[in-house]
Amino acid sequence: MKASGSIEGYLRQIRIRLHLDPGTESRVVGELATYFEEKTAELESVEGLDPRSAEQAAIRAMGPPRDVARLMYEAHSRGSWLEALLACQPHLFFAALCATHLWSRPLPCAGLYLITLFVSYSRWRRGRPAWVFPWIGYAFAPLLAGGLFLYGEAGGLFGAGGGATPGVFVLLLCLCAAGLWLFLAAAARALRRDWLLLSLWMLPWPVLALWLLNLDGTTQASADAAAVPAVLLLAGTAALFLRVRSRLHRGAVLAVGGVTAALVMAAQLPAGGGFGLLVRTSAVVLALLFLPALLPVTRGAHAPSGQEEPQGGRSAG
Amino acid sequence: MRRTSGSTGYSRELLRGNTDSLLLFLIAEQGRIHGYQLIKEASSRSGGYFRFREGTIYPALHKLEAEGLVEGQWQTQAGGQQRRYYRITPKGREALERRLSMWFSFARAMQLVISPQSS
Repeated sequence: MKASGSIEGYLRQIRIRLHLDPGTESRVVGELATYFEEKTAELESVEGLDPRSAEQAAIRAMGPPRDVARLMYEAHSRGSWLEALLACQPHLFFAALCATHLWSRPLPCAGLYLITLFVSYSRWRRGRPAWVFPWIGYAFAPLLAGGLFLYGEAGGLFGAGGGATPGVFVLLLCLCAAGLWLFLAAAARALRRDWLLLSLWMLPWPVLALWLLNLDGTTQASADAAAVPAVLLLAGTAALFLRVRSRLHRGAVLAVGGVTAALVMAAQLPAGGGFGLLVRTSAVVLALLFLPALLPVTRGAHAPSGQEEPQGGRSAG
Repeated sequence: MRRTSGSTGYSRELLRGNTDSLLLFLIAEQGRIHGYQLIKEASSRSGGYFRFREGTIYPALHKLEAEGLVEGQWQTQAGGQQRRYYRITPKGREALERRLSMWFSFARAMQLVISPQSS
């Protein structure tokens, strides 16, 4: 039995506000569609309402879609302790690399990066659970590094004569362009689901950028030492994000954690600590984390994940 | 601020704090039940006193399932529609026992304070 226009519209409003993974979203919408079918049938048969009035009554009984979607989100959003631990992992890996200075050795660095890529790609293909977004943030770290290097080469950021040959520069430019295309495509998909997840993805970038910008010989040790507590703070932020239910609390966790981590990093650097720099750092971090909320997004129906889906006999929006 | 439902006479906060227990009890008692039936059962069993809002029951059911206290399964009906049926899990039974024990202790203590002569 196909849902009518007003019920379909209601279910569409629910779907837009759910911000859950596709499988869970389909389950929620499917169950609510079943409720509407039963409720309208009962109102028509028992109370003698016409179909349109029965629909309106059923929608009123369910309540505003904004409230229902918020409660459904809170019912499903909280990650388990295991998922919180998984969300911490890439931050802990990076903290370990900085603490041991092993990031400069190809083998451990490449090994951890390959693990990060594998986890990011495999879970991206399987429902994109919330805990994988910090991994994705680090998976795109080379893009950030490449972009900063190109900017430095172009703008003399790293001093006169950065050292890259034209060939290397062009190669890096092409790689960064390809990486940027991949990033934008993935970010658009993340944004369609939930801007908070895109913010979680970009959470480590301010700290990473500050670390990368201080990797010349004289400040490298300081950068590593400054990064460790900052990244550990990011690990705690990611874990807490997974464990809180409400969107408001999640946004607050990201804001406080992201700004604090960046300030901890900036304050410990040789050139850091000035009030103006700290204010600018805070502003940049907040802008980066909350820019996704301002981006326009068109939420379409998710492709079915194959898990827990009702089939046949109903159009669930 | 306490919100009192004028038509039902109880505080919504009071019901909100006991909704999970009520749902777990009804699911355990019925063995297997779907959301809409649960809403009607709670209302009829309470003589119409409890009037759950559908928009809070379904999220509450989903929360119970996410916590592993109930498990849901889709079943296709004769007319082709899909219904999600819930049943309680062993973990849910333990949680229900704890909550009922807590509730009875609370109610007994209230009774002792309010009507010590009749305790």
